[in-house]
Amino acid sequence: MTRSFDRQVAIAGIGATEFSKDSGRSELQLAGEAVLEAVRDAGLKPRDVDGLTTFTMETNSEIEVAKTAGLGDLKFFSKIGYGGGAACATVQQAALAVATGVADTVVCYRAFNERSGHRFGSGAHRGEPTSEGIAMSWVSSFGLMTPASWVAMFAQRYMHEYGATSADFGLVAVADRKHAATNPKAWFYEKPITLEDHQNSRFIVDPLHLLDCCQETDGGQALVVTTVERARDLPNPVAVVSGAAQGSSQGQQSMVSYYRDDIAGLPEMGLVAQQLWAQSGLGPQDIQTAVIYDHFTPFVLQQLEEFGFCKRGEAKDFMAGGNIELGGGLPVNTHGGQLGEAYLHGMNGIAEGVRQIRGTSYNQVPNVENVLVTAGTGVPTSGCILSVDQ
Amino acid sequence: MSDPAALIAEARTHLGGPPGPLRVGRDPVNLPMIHHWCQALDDQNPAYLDEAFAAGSRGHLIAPPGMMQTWTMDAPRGPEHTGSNDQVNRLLDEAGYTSVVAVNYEHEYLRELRLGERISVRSTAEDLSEEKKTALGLGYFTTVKHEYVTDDGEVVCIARMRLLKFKPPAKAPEVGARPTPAVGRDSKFFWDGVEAGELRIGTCNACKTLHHPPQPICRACESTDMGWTVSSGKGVVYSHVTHHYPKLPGVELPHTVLLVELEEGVRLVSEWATGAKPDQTFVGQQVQVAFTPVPGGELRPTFKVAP
Repeated sequence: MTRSFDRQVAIAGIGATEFSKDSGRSELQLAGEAVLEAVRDAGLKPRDVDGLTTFTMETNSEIEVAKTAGLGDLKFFSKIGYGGGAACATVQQAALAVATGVADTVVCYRAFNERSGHRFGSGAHRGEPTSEGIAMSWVSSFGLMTPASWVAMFAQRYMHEYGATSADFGLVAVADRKHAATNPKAWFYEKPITLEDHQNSRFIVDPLHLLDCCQETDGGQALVVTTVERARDLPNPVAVVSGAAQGSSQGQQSMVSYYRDDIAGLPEMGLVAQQLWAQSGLGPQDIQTAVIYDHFTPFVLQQLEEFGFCKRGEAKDFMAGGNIELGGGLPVNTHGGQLGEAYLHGMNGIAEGVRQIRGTSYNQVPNVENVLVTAGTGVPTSGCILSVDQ
Repeated sequence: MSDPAALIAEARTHLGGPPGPLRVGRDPVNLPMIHHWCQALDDQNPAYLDEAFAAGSRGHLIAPPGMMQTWTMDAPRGPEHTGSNDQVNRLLDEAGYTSVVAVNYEHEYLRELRLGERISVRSTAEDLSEEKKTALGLGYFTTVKHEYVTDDGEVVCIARMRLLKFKPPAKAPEVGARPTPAVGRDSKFFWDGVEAGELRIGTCNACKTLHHPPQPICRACESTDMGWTVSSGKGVVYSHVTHHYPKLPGVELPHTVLLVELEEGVRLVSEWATGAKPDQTFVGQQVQVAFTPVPGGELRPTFKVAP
């Protein structure tokens, strides 16, 4: 079993700013200029770029650079740790993405004011705030400081545009808690709730009630990924990765993408959906159960819409009548979700997807062939489809 | 609960009324207490301390006149508080003016005290002001007359104390200061504009595209020649939330946050101007920018309902 890059991937453009001791501009501008210069050198347009990779030490996040340089929707973005050790790893990760067809054009970048701003040798941080810090400041300075409040702003607009109500959001909480009630590993094992409980729970950030918000958890979750060929020789039924995708769409910000034309949808999840269906050759009708990221209930509705389980604004109708509960048309979050089982940044949801494929869930759905699992919403995100080994 | 105005009116009927029972000092005028007083105040007057000197002066030691109140300070109060001053204080307490602070205390000494004399005091409510707004809160100034007397009934000192009886203000929740915005090269103009009373929107000098939040490169034309223009400040509420929990630094709860779409086409997150929060917040509400301070005193671009 030999695999390699097999001479499939190349570096097609290079670009840099001038090198100085005092650039006189923000680190974000330096990053944007370098990226645009490389794109021009390659003879491409900013919109052609669909991947970015950089260092964990980089202060300019991929989304800030993408927004600033007017790049296209991103299907791949990654950060690599360990300071200067990341340099060639950016090329490795870009090459992995391009070789597998995850992305077509990935830009690797690094930019800073290491001499005029924060000097690594100074022993203390000083100088300008980072572009991520400044981005958050546009909301926190006005008292919008918590994840619940960031999501509530989208939810209010969604309610306005499509006539959804708090009780519609409550259907998600009721389904999650129903499933958690029969999962002994769930925090809310044997503690189902009613829609009335949801409606009577206090406001955290109007329009979100307490029971719209996931719990907080201490815990860990890990997954082992290897080849299907090798997995077949191991003890468990094989959960094949039929698709895995990232998405960050134009105008993307972290939790507060309030400045795009339409804020009643989740275009980055739409981008993930489109890739997953393309990679897997599957569609909504091929999914027997889904793990839909549920840190807050409202975004579950938009995700059902972005994946095409129903039309825009119709998730409330899709969910009615127990359709997302065990026994319904699309059981969602059979482990209890993050509201019911545990909030582990979605990783426990992937494990539930694997259990549904293995046939070992506490709330097993019959005849599962494919499970959709999604990741955090409101942020650049990801998703995957797990399938039984045919 | 009685009506506060009625309670105050009743208090006025007690002014000049009977003083109630005498409060008798526990210890007679004595040298150890005089020594403590003189040492604490560093008063070396030999008339208080030096018997030989005193013999050649008044013929005997005298007590420092300023000690007058100390001779009755530990005098036990009787079970019934029947004096006019007791009545006035009780009624002010019932009306909600429960806190007290002394304003001034005037003494008129009629004669000097000798060792061994026992002093008593009787108190008469003399005056009650109109309600006053003070830095401590709403309150009434009361004047009480204290008459210090010997066992023989001789008045040795007349003192008038003015007190402020006030309503302790409701404790405002300590919200602290709102976090200061992180300001960088690309956003400094915006916050400078807030100080200047202008809502400035990042604008590409080359193609005039507006950008909020501002950015250093125009995503429409790739120009790095970025400036700003001043918004009319007119807009509509595009979305909104009301934060109830948890407590946040520099935020009085519940706190409504607005996503405003300006008529120029860009959106920004903001909040209602101080004191201008309407009864209702709704999508489509017409708003106009204002510049008002948030807890901690920093200015923010905020919004009022458009006139």
